[in-house]
Amino acid sequence: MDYNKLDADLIAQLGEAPAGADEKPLSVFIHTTKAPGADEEAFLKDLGHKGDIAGRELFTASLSPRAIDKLSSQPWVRYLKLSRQLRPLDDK
Amino acid sequence: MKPQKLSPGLLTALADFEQEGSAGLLRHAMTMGVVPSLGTPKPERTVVFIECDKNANFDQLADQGIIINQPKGTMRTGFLPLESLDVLSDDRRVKRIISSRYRRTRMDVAAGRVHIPQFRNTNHLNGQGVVIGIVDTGIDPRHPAFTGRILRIWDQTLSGPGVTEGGYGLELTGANLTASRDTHGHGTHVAGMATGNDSTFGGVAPGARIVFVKTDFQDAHISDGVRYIFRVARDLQQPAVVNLSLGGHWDAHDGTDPMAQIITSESGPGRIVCCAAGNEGNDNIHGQTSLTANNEGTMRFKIPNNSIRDAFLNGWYSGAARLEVSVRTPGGFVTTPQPVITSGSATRSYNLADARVRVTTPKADPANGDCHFVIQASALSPGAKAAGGTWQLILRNASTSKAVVDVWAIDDQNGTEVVFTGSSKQDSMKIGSPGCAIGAITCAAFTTKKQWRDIDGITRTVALMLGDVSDFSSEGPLRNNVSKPDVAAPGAMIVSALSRDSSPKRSNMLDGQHFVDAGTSMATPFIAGTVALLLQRNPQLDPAAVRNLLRAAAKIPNKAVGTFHPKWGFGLVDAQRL
Repeated sequence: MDYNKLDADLIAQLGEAPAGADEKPLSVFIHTTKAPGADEEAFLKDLGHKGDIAGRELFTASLSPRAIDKLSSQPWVRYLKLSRQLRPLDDK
Repeated sequence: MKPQKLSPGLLTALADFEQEGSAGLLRHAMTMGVVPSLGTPKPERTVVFIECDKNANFDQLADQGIIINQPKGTMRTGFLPLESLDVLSDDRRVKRIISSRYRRTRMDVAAGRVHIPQFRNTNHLNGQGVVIGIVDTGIDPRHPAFTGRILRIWDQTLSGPGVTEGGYGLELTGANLTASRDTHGHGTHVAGMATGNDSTFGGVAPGARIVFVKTDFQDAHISDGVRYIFRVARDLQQPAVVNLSLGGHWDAHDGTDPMAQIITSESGPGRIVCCAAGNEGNDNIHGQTSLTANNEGTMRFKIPNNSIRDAFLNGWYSGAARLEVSVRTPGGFVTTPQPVITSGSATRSYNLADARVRVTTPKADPANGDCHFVIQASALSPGAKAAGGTWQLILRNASTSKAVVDVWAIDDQNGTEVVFTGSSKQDSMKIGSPGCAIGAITCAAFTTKKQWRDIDGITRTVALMLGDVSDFSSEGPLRNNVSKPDVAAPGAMIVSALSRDSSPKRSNMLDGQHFVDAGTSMATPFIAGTVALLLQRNPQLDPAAVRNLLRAAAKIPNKAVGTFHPKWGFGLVDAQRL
C-alpha cells in the first residue's frame, strides 16, 4: 500500500489492519495523473470498477481494501480519497 | 333555499352534509370555515361572507341562530347553523353567501418578498426548456405539483445496473417512476420550491422539467449524480441547473475536495450548480488557533455526556508547517504527541484509561498542499458512548513556519453535538462541501415567515427574526478567504410539497399535500429555480455570469450593493433587479 497516495480519512478508515485485508468495499474518489487509457481502464475493471470514466482524471469507485492497495501502487494514480457521508440541510 | 345565491364551495359542503351528515363536513373543515358538530349538542355551523343591501338590518334573524357581525355594509361576515342557510338565502336583501376559507402561509409569501412573480410575468418566464436536477432524499412522483414533468429518477438506493456515471442503483422513467419513494420528505419539499406547479404553494420555475437523483448521501455518489444530470440535459440539448441542498464538514473548506472539484469542472455554459451554505450558524463546530514556530497551543472541545459513540476532529494547516498532535481526555489522560508520519500508515490508536483515541497525521494532501489530521475519540468498549466532558486538542508547532490551524468537529451522526469551547471557537468558515465549491452558487437563508397554522388549526411560531438572515445560516468565508456564501434567499419558514410516503410532525403539516420546513436547504431551490428562469432567458449563461447577475441583484439591508458579509453573502436577491 502506498500510503502517501491516501488521504487522512482513508488511512484512518483502513486503520492499522494489514494492507489488503478482505473487508467491505469503500467508496472512494480516484484522481489520476492523466485520463486513463485502455490499459488503465482494464486494470480498474479487473478491480471491480463499474461505470464510464469517459476521459476523466477524477472519478469515483467502490473498492475493497485489497483493490485500494493494488491501485495505490500504480504510477498513474495520483491519490485516493475516502467518500464521506453528507446529510440534508434542513434545520432540524 | 335559493341555491343560486350560495358559492360553489358552500353548495358542495352542503351536499356532502346532506348525504353523509357531520362526517361529510369533515373533509371541508381543513379549508373552509365549517364546524362539524361531531356528537356535541350544537348544530353544524359555518362562517360566511354575506353580500347584501348596505343598510339591511338582520337583527330578527338572530332567532334562527344567524349572527351577522356588522350592522351595515354591502359585504359582511356571519356565523350560522348550516340549516339556517335556507332562511338567509331566502331573504331578499341578501344577494350572495360565500364560504369563508382558511388563508395559509404561502410559498408565494417568500416569492413575493423577492419579487419572483413580477420577474416571471414581466419576462414571460416559467423555466420551460430548462432541466432542474436535484440530488436528494427522493421525490414523490405522484404529487400533483410535478405531474408530467419528472423525466427520470436515478434511484441510487435501489438494486440495479445503474447508469453510465455509476454502475449501481436503478434508472426509472414513465410509469416506473413510482418505484422510487421519498420517505424522508426533504427532496419533495425542495423540488416543490424549485419547480412545483401548485396554485397555492407554487415553485419558482413551474415550467421546468425534473431529473432527480435519489442518493444515499455518499459524496462520491452525489458527484456521480451531478454528472448524470448534466449528461441527461446535454442529451436533451437543454440547459440545466442542479440543486444540492446537502453538505457536511469532512473536507478542507476551501473547494479543493474531490466533490467540489467535480462540481466546478462539470459546470459551464448552461450547466449551473446551486448549493446550500449549511445550517451551523448557531453551532460552534469550527475552531481556529495560530501557532508561531516551536510553540504549543490547546483547543478545548466538548463531547456531550452519554450521547454519541464517536467524535471526530477534521484539522487543516499549511503544509509549510509541521505539527505534533495529541489529545487530552476529560479524565486528564493524554496521547503521545504524534508528528506527521511519512512512511507506512499514519494512523495510531491510543487506549487511555477513559477513552480510545485514534490520531491520523499523514504528509501534505496533494489536492491543496496542506496538512490534514483526523482525530477519532471513542469509548474503550465498542458501541459504548464516548466520554462526555471537556477534551483538549494539543498542538505543538515543531517547524519554523507559523501555523494557522482550522479544525471542524463532527459527531457520528454527522451532527453538531461536539463543539469547541473557549477562545478557539470561531463563527466563521462553516461552509463545507459542496457549498465551498468555487464553481457553485452558494445560498444562505433569509427568514420571510415565522408563523403558520398547522393541520390541526394550531398556530405555530418559531423564534426567528423576520426579515433578517436566518440565524442558523452558516457563515463564510472559505478557509482560503474566498467570499462565500454568494447570496441569500428565503429559507424559513417555507411551505412546499409533502411526500405522501413521509411522516413529518403534524405541527409542520399544513394539509395532506404541504408542510413547512426551514434551512439553507430551502434557500437553495429558491435560487435554483431563479437560475432556471435565467437559463430560459439565456441558455448559455455560465457560472460566473449567473453569479454576477445574482450578486448585482442582491443587497444587504442598509448596505451598498456589492457589500459582502460572511453570513449574508452579497445579500438577499431581488428578482426585479435581474
